[in-house]
Amino acid sequence: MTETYISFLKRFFLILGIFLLLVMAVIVTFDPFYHYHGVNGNMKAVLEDRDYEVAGTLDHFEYDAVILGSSTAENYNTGQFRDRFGTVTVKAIRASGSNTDMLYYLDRAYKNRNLQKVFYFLEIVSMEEPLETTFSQSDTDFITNGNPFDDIRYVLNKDVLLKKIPLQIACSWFLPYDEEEAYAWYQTKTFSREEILKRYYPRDDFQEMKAERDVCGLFYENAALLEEKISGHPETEFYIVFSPISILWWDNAYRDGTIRQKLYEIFCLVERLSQYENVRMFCYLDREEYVTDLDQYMDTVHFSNQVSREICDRLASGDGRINPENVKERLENLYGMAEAFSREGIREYYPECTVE
Amino acid sequence: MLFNSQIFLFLFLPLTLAGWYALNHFRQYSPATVFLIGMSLWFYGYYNPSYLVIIICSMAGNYLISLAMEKLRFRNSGRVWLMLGLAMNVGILGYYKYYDFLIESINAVFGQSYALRHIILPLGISFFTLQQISYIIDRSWGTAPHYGLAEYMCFVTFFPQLIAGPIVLHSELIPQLRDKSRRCFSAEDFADGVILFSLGLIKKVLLADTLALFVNDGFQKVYYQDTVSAWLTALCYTFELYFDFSGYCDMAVGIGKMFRLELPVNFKSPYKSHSVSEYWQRWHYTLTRFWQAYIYNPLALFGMRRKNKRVKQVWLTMSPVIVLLVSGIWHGAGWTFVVWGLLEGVAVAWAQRKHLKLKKSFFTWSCTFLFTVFAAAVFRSESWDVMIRMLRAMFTPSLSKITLELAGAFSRLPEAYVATKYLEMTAPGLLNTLFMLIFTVLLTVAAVILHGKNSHEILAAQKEKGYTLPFTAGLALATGWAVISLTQISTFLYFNF
Repeated sequence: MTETYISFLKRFFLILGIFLLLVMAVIVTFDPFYHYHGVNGNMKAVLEDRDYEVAGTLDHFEYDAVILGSSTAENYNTGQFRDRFGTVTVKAIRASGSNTDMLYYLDRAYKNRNLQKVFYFLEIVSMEEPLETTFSQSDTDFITNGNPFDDIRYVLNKDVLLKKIPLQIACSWFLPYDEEEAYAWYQTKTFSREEILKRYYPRDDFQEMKAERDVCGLFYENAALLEEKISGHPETEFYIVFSPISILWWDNAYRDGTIRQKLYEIFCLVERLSQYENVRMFCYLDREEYVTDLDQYMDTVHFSNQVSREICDRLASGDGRINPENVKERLENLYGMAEAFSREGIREYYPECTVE
Repeated sequence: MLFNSQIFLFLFLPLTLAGWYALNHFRQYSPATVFLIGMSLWFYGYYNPSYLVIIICSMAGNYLISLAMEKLRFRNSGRVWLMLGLAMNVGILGYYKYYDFLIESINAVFGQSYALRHIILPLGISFFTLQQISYIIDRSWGTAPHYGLAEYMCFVTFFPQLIAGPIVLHSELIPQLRDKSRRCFSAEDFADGVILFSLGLIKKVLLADTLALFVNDGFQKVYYQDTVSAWLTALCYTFELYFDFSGYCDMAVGIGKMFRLELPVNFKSPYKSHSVSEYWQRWHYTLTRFWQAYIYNPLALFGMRRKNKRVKQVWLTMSPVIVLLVSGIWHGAGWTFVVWGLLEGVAVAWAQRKHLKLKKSFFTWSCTFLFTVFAAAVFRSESWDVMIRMLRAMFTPSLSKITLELAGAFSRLPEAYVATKYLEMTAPGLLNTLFMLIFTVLLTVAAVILHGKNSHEILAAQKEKGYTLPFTAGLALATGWAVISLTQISTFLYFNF
């Protein structure tokens, strides 16, 4: 009788084992997260899920330039960067990513490739984030932590098998898919003043303006880390870019009393980083045509593809450079713009809003 | 740690089994017990190690009371120690589970604004507290001995039953731990364990979690429910709850068998019941057994001793109501659980007291099942408002297209992904048909499974047949499918209670 039980156990675990091995084999072969290898021969690089795919892209793709940034940098077209800068560029995107997240990606890229250029679309709020990366707290930890044992979450994953691989196959062979638009989301969003106004509710009060000297200590630590990275790679040209943010975001910063501190942080970064020969800094925060045109936004920070394309062109032509000579003046312009809007202009959109 | 997690399946369980049998093989029985306790504590504290302090304090308190019952005897000492033990256990459970509920209720009734503490309920506290209460009561009744510390800790912490039952009695587990003949590997028990565990995993991951897609959306959109969708939501939840909890218990019993430690069967095809009282003998049996032994029987006995016939009658009628009201409160800190407990209690009392004894028939089954579906809607409602909305939708005739919208939840199924995307591009008008088809298939599968044999009956039937190849292959493939589904699953419903 014992034979029957042993025979059952043998059969059961054999069939189960073969099934699981087959699933693993399929997933490792297609590898939609590019965790084990680059793009298969005649397939396209299908990049639709940044949190899972960026690490693999950095490890296994061929490239010599990286776009670093949060979701606001996702709409840049890598083909446009190739045309303007002559680089093979990949995107390293972390939504709401901290500065250390970006530097982690940068380290990962340096481990595998020599970088000619880094386009860092820096959000000033990310410089106040903690110094630990956010990867270990996320569900995608198994992609970034380098532990081969938890890869089981990837290679035995029904979502990967039934969603990601079919998508990869369909985009490679059956559907029009533009690899240069990796992670881009603008096609599915509406950019208009109606959209942004739906998502922004101005505070009723004005908080006391916080002093510049009280800038969060984490900012200085983050700035030092960035500086260390830049000085450690003199062979790479760093483009540090402050992308435009809508005037409504600045209105909020003005009302909650943090605008002076934010501008001071930008000032410090420009002062500190401009001293390096391999750094070019650009700022579009004070460009009125971007900041006040609410039709270019879907919310207070996410701007349209048109703006992305224009910024890429401006980066290539050198338009928008910021340096220690002009930084004060430009930031004062921005402050003036925000103040005028919060004290008067906002009434155009929110007639009931407090302005005094 | 969850049974339905990769770390459990690929690391914890193999490691624990290997350690247990290796130590026992070399006759290291005490170290094996200690090893099992250690692994169980790892299992318990995996997500939040601070919970370990609570369970260890709870065990220490109860063990000391048992020791005091043994060593510190004086007049009425049994009663004193029992009261102390009950106060401690109920106090701990009350603090973690009901403190905020009590404060909320006081604030609502008396218009106060006492601060809530937002206490997070420690995992499994309701279960291990009941388990220990039963031991303390048995000690005071003189029906339980004082056990060694390791035995006692192993009884409470044995990981398969620790978090969500079944509620095991000391008299069930400790004698098995002492039985050295159970400490060697048995292919028969292991095969039984594998089958039960696999069936449980399949029920939980492939059925309960799929049904949950519809149910969760249904309760989120309760304001838009029409009569059909509300009943369908309640029906799906009825199925989900069974597959979820009985799946968990099958896994627990299955793991127990792998260790050659028999745990009690908790579900005996409850949806085949022909009365609510029969239902409670089939659903979460070990809980019913607890209420019956420690609340119902003392109440009924007290009632039987009343001389006044009418008083006796009232006592006997009220006993199940009180028991199920307590059960409702035990299930959750909220007024909807109180209502649910009362409903069940009244239904059981009515079923027991009715003068017209009905023969089992389709009519009695359908009435019982409809009541179960109705009660499930109350049970699932997370607030009073949701419950009222849900019941209003169920009992006020109305019709809209909300069912189609809710069925759209199945678009999130990986199995439906390719078909959904294809139809989105080629024939978007057919998407609703696809989702309704999936829904119909799912309900049919659930109904067929519930109508057929339960896991233990399947196991018995297969043992008789010598495990057919189609069964073995089907079970292995479905288990494999469940394993690769683990990345997109929900937590067990009963962990909240």
